Amino acid sequence: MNTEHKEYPELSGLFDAARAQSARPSEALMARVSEDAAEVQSGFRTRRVMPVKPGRMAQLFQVLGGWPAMGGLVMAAATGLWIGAFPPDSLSVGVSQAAQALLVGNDTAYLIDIAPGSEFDLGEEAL
Amino acid sequence: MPLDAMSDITDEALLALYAKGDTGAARALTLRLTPRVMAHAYRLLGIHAEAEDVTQEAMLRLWRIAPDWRQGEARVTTWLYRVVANLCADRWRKPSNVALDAIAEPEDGTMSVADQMQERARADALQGALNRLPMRQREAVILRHIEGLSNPEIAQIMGINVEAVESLTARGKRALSADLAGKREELGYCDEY
Repeated sequence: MNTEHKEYPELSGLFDAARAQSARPSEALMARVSEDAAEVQSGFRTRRVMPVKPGRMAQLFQVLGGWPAMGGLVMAAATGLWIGAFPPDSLSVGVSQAAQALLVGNDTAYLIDIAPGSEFDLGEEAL
Repeated sequence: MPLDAMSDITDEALLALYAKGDTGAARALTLRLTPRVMAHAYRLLGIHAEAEDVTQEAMLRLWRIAPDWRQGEARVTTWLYRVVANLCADRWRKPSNVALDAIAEPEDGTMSVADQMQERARADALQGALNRLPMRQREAVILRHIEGLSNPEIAQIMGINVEAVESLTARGKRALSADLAGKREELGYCDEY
């Protein structure tokens, strides 16, 4: 006899009987559990072949318009590079002058009217 | 993998195989765990049809959690006992109109018919007394004295400390003994004690 039950000796036999008389699952229940297992498992396979979510760069690429937009961007960049490297004659003078002014500066003084229209007020005061 | 080759594999490893799509692992787990879950659910509920529903639901939850199962954190059986207890607690809270069912008669060739009837009577009497115990005492007594789990395991399943488990089982056994005191003779104990 189990020493754990010395206080209630009859319980030991009752627990043994309960173990021996365990309720058993019916064939129908076993079949239902197996069906559930197969159904849930088939979901794992479906989930595994689902497309992977694109990364941040791929998402940005799509937002900007994908390959067509990227093609236009590349074309514009190449054109700008070409014009910069081999400028046509009509552009070369203007470009070189602008570059010179930007890099070296010039001594040309500009007269800037900071209050356009004030000559009218002065004219009225004179009257 | 053949079913025989899976007998040495732990429940947790089988669950990992199941999550990877191994159909043999599903079959092995079904055969290994469903009877155990069913027996426990019946002892907690005392109603065969409801125990079957709880068993199916508990196993379904196991299948669903398989891909997210964290190896090494808990035993599958511990997790299942906890799920069964929660499902049974939900049913205890609801009134049931289902009549008590008879347990499927087990065939045991090693026992005489009289002995089998005696065992049947004892199991039925204990189940009746268990059904009259408070929920937590019933769960603790079943896990300790019928399922044979250790007190720390039961504490983990029930979410309490070991001292609380000892207290629940002690009170449960005292109540069972008092409940069955008038049936000693009927259960064949009069000559022994």
